[in-house]
Amino acid sequence: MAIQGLNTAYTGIRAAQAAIETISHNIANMSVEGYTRQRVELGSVYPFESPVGLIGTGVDVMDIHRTRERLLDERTRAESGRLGYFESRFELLSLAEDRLGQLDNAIDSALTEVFSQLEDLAMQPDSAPIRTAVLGSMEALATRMRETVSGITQLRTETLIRIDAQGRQFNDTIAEIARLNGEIAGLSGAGAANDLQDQRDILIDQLSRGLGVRTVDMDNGMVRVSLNGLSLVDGKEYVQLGYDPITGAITHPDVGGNPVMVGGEIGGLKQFLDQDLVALLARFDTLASDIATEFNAQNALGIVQDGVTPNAFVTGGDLFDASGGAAAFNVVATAGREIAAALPPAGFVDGDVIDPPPSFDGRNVQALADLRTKVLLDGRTLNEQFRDLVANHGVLTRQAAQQTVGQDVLHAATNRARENQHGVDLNEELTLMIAHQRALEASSRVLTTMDEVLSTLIHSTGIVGR
Amino acid sequence: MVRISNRVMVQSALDRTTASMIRVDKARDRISSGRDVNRPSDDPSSASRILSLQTELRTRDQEVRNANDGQALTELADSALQTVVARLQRARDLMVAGASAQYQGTRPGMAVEIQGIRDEVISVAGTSHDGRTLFTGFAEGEAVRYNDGTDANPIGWVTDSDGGAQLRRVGPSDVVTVNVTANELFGLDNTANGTDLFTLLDDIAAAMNNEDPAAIGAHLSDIDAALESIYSAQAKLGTAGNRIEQAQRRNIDTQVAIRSELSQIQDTDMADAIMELQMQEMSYEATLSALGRSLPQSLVAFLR
Repeated sequence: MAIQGLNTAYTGIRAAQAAIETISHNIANMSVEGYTRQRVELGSVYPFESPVGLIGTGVDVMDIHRTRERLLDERTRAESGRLGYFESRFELLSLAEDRLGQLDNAIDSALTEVFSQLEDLAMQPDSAPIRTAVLGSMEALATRMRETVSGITQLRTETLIRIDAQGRQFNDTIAEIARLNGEIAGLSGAGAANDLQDQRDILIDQLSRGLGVRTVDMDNGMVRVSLNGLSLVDGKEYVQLGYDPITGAITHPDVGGNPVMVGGEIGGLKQFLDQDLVALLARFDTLASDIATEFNAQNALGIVQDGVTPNAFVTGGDLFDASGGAAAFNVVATAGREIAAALPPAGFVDGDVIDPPPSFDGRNVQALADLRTKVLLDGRTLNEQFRDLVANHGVLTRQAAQQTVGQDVLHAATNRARENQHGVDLNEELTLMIAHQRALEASSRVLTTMDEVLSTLIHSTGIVGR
Repeated sequence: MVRISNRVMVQSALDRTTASMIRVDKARDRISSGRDVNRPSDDPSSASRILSLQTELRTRDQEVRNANDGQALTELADSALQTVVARLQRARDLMVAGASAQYQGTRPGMAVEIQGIRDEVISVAGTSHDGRTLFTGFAEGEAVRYNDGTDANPIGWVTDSDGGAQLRRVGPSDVVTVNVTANELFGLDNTANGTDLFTLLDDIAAAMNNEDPAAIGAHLSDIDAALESIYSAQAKLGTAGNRIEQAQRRNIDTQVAIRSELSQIQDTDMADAIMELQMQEMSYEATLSALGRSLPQSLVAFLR
């Protein structure tokens, strides 16, 4: 009986040691990202049948438990996917906003400058320097338009590169999760796979933020990871995502290499590429085309010297060309002469000689300048079109910013809840450590007592009380 | 049981400090840039209004330039016409003298002066401003010239003027005619009816040369009619000048109003901004001090 008692005390010492070592592991890892605190689970060992009844035989380490809660993981990952989506979209909208130009130096002011120069010319239609200045202001407008649009288009290229690079990284992550699945399934023993599981959870977190994935637990501690219903990792098996360099779409082999809807950061980037950017560029195209149409139509109502026969006049030609969209918006007129300042007399035919020439007739230039206030079919002037474009993008960016801030708060809250559950609390660990230390001391004390009991039996049997 | 892990404590302390620092930075930015609206997303509707007001301001500015040009044109035309009126009145005086019997024998001398007056009026009618002839409408040419048959016009006094009205936009919807043309001033219509001022002066000179007081007297009403059309042209120019002046005054008021609205929308309210900065800095310091106090505390410090 005393022999058994020695063993029982020994199990106590061993359990306390295991607990203290686990606490030591927790404290050591307390600053490691994604580390989940571990707990030693103790349980009493089967009793043996003694002549006096059942007596316990001590304590044993049942498991080294990883205090992870699936629900908190799920919640945090869902919020982090949404945060990734809002954040990346906001970032790009904000970059596009930068490229719209400073408020006091935007296309709007370039356009206004053209109108002002035209009005100057209306006063002195015969002035060659002013004509050159008008042409210069038109060039400035066209350049501003092209630069703005190319700056925004550049974002498209940058975004495509970013999706490609991140997609490759996610493919590595997918392969790594599958590898960890295999390793985890191959391990046995209490708490053996704890730290590998931590590693895997970090990788899944990354995928959730980047793509918006879902996970399901499998046997042997493995997980299944899926994207929008399509499997990415299934135990040790995994697939690699594809990438369409033209559209930036992420493709999946299970749907025949067709695009698959993604969330997370990549989803936000795609939303910007497919919706926001397209709409923004379309607005610029409309503006460029409207400017060209209006100016060319008005110029065609006036007459210019044909420059060959003295005082022979022809109808004004095109000033702008927007046939290639806003990105190729340019000034067609090459000389200030081509701005049709005068209105044709009644019955005018191209090639008519008007002598003396109407050099001081600036009525058509004034009409060109008056396009400033002309309300187009969509109910807005040219300037208002640009202003609406700016305001519209501003609203979009602001909304995205607010969504991001809101989502950030939500994500931070869920993440804090998760970290609080999984992370290490030093006070708690130290308190437990003292408790286990005391248990170890007590077990040692029991061992000593057992030793004394045995000693009495061995050395003093028969001479007790002598 | 609610747990707080040490990592979260550190992380949230860090998050709070960063958030507080961002707020301080924003408040500083507001002061240093002097602008409340730096980018459209700061306040989309204000951004659009700012763009609109800036265009408005530039347009009002252009109207000032238009008005100045119009003002110069009307004043120049008016002073030219004053000379014309003075010369024609002199011609009238000569005619009154020539029509009376006592000036017998001096009329040919008067005829020379009348011709001189005619040439002077022609030269004044050719006044130009910055390369633009004042009285020819849109056309580039001479206000008055004698056609001896070299072009398609009838022989006699003709004008190159096409009667075009030079318009200046001096307000959002205020367009003023700032010129008068040789046609209305001198009755020139490029027909052979000879009702223009110069034919009249030629006729008077001829009557003077012929020592014909009755003919001279008969032309007195014609010269009065000629003066009348100059007076009415002067009245037109004067009215235009007044309209331009009023438009200028309104324009200045509008510009002041636009500037003040622009400033109200986009400029930082300094008192408010500095207050905010002070508050944010205070809260930042408080965050830092809280961080300093809370972080090192744990059981470790008390265990021996």
